[in-house]
Amino acid sequence: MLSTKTYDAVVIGAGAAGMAAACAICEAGHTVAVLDREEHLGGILLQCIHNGFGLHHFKKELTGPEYADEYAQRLASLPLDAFLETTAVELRDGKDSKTVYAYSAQHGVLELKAQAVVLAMGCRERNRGNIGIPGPRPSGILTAGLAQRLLNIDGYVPGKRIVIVGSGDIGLIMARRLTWVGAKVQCVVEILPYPSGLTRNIVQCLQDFDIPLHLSHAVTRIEGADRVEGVRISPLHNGVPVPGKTSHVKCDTLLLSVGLIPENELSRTIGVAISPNTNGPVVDHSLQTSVEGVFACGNVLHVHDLVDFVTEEAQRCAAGVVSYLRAPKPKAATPGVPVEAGANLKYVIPNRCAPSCETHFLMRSLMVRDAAELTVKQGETVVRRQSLRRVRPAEMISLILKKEQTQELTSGLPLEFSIGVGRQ
Amino acid sequence: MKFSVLCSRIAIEAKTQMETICIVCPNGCRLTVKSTSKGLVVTGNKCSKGEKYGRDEASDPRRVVTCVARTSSSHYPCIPVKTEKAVPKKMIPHLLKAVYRLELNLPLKRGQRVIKNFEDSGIDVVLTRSIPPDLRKART
Amino acid sequence: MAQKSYDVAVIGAGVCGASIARCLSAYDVDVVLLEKCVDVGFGVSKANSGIVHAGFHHKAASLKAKLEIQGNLMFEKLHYELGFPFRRVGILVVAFSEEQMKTAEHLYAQGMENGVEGLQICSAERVRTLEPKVNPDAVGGLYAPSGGIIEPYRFVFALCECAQQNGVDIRTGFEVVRAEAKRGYYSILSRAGERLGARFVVNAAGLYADRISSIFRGEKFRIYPRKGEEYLLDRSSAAYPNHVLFPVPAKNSKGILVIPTVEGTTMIGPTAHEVDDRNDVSTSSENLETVFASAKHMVPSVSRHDIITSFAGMRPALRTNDFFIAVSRKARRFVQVAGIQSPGLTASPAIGEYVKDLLKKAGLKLTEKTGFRPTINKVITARTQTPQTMAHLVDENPRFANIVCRCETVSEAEIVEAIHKGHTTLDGIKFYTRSGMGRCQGGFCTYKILKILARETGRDIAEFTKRGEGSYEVAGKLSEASEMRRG
Repeated sequence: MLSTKTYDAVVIGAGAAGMAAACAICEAGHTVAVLDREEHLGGILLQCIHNGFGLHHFKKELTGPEYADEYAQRLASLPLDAFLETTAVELRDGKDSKTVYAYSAQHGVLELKAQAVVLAMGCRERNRGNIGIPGPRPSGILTAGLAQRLLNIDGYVPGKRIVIVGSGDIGLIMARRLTWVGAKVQCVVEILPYPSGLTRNIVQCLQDFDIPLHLSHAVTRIEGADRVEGVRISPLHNGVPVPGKTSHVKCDTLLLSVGLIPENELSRTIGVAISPNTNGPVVDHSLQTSVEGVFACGNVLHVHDLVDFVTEEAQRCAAGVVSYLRAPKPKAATPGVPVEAGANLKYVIPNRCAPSCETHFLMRSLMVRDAAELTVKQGETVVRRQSLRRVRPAEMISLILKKEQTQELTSGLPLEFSIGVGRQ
Repeated sequence: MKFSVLCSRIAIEAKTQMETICIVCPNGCRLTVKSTSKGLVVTGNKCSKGEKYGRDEASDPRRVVTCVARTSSSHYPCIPVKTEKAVPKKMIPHLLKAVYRLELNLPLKRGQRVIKNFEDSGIDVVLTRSIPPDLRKART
Repeated sequence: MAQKSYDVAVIGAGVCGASIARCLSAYDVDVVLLEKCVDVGFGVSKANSGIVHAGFHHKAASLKAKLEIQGNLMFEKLHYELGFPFRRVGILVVAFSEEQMKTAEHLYAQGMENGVEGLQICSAERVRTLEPKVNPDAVGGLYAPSGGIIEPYRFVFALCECAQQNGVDIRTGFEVVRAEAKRGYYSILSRAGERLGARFVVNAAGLYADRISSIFRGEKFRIYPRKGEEYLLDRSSAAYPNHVLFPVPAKNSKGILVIPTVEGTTMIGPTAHEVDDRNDVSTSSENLETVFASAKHMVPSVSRHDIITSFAGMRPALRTNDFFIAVSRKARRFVQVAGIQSPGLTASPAIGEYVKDLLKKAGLKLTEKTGFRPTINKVITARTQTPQTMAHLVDENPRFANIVCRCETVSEAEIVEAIHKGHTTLDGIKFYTRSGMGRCQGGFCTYKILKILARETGRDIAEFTKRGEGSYEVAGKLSEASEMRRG
């Protein structure tokens, strides 16, 4: 059975980004379908049972499922179509509209035609294969997110003696979670000289339980034939293991919390250009990708740390979609100003902006600094300076350039963002 | 900025000094709390919020607990819960055990109280999710 | 105590044992295929590089060369009958110096002597035309259009299914630990205490062929395990070549290859070094560097960024470096199939026929079976469907549209089929369906597969393993006995 349906916009993914985008586009009066491969709306929020979500957006401290529920309730009250347990498999561009092909056991094959498509597929976790930890391939090596899902949704404890690789928030949260279900978390191993996660999590997830955090250390080998039996850990000097200082830690589970990668294989099927700095689509100020009518927001665009920022970004994206839907076609191409990540910045989103448009920029620092200064320049002209109190790679930096500040921008020269030492 | 390899915690009751990191704002001041004849003295804080945090951590450390309770459903075997307010740390192991002893029957509603006034603390444990959730199915 | 008795017991359900079992299943003989692991193909075969060699790498006088050429020619028919993924993409040996060109010419001569069809010596220009992705420093090479690529585990599964369909019994989890020579048959005992009888025995036990030979009092020899580490690159990798790319071979190995797998990923490797422990299939960082450097030299667009996983295989080598396939002179009615390293997979269809003939010579009476069915039902996969063809499939079985493994587009219907065919470990399902082989390496599909396994088998999630024995996936269920450790 193949059913063809037509919408103004199709949103792929019903996690934090997809839900917020779908609601906003629908509330602006357009027809919307939202798809998700899981059984419920909410994406990854459903397994993030800890609190700390929504402080900015809802002015309340919520757990992940509660944050998801706020939006699920809103979606339920809106006249949009939600297709769950449905997987989008291909996107096609066409003369008059885009087509999303999706498969679901309940609906069969869906051929959804839309003027605009919002990519909100989120990200996947970096795994052992990506980081290449040497050793055999026993069972018991899993990413922190998979462990979180197995425990919080399916009710299974992944292991009894755990070593966690990576001090990002997911790993720290799982350190506490596993301790609370009776497992022994032996230690957390971090290759950098500073932890990647929030201080709050270092205190409440490690310090509270006396779980050692080994900074500047790496797991150099996994041991165990059928199931993990232990790991070898080495201190690093200049990123290289110090010879002769390897220690052995017994464990039956290795949890990896070593980074997230935006999931863009679907984006590639329609030819969306991907930025190597973010692994997400290249976008303009309205979060439209290199393919006209295809937009992106949330973790698929770049990896976020606060879900509140995801929601805001999704709302900006929805505004871009609504503008696009209402604009007369064919659209005149806006020249746009390329945006560059300069000194000490990993990336800046969006990758292009337009003159006389308020633009909300999000970026990530490469440096760790307590007093820093963000400079935005076009050529020699300084457009904006902002002092930053605390700069960390793990904490996203946000900057809004108002319409007046972007008025003078000329197309041609890139708008360069950079971070330097702060002035006192 | 350096973190020590092993963040040490020494219970204030057993010894006279405790070290921790303040989590009230992103500064993350490293606090030392000493038990003196004049009471608790906090040093290392940059503001009064940190002083209060240090004091509370030393005398009455509390945490919000989030975990899952089991259900009798095989399709939805777990449901997430939280304590409505932060509970004393000492209480956490018993609280967790009490939650794991539960076996809840569907349907369940977000906000429903599943443990009331745990050990006379005045704190309830509530559900943070509804099952089955109110979903919008596709119109065909 | 009555015990089941067979005409032939084939020990080892890798590519050789499976091929032999299938060949024998065309005759009126009772065959049992014994496998020590929890599933077939879990030994040497699962780490195979998946190349169907052309036949120019080995001397004409060797058994290897003879069986390799014969085997190579049998793949079209097998592909038609058994449906495993296979493509004759051709092999290109690339030379980077005049000296290397001489070796390429020697391989050409060797190949011609072996009877390989279509071999061509190539100029630098021809190499670049055939393979634009190759390093422009290439000075020439050898092109063998008869080389191909195959999915090795699907090949083993298909051979086994066909054998089973034609009456072969397959016993997994059966590790042979003892054998007693009785009058006219062997009484074979497994580690778990099961017993069966067989008149003829074929030793196709791969890494353990020496042990099996010793158990049956056959020839004394030793298997020297040679490890090979390989790396898998994402299917979006720019380095995916048109042909299987070989460097000029070294003394003991064919070198580090850049392989376009039949499923669309790119594989680089394998290394070759002898190890002491035949079970040590660990990978190392030094070897990653070696493999990487070699592969990148061959195809400059090979990128570290694209690596999705690595693994190691183990070659069961003999000191002679040739296949040892012969009727034993020490143990009666016992056929040795040992030392099957490269080009074992290529030779396996021919090995099947060869061993059948050896058994005949050893006294096994073979009469053709009427009703032998050489073809099996092909596996239907979601990833090969278009939206239109999927629409028809869904009407028959909606589970085809429930995509469980997003990275490789594997549907619930395929997972259920794998389970019903007896593949109830995560690795078994992975090799049968490809679920878990993609870029997320099981991050998104593992919990779904565990739930489907529980539903289909009626067992609890905590019982399932990665590949049998002690490789449990989860430690246990969250229960009322759960509690936080004190202290």
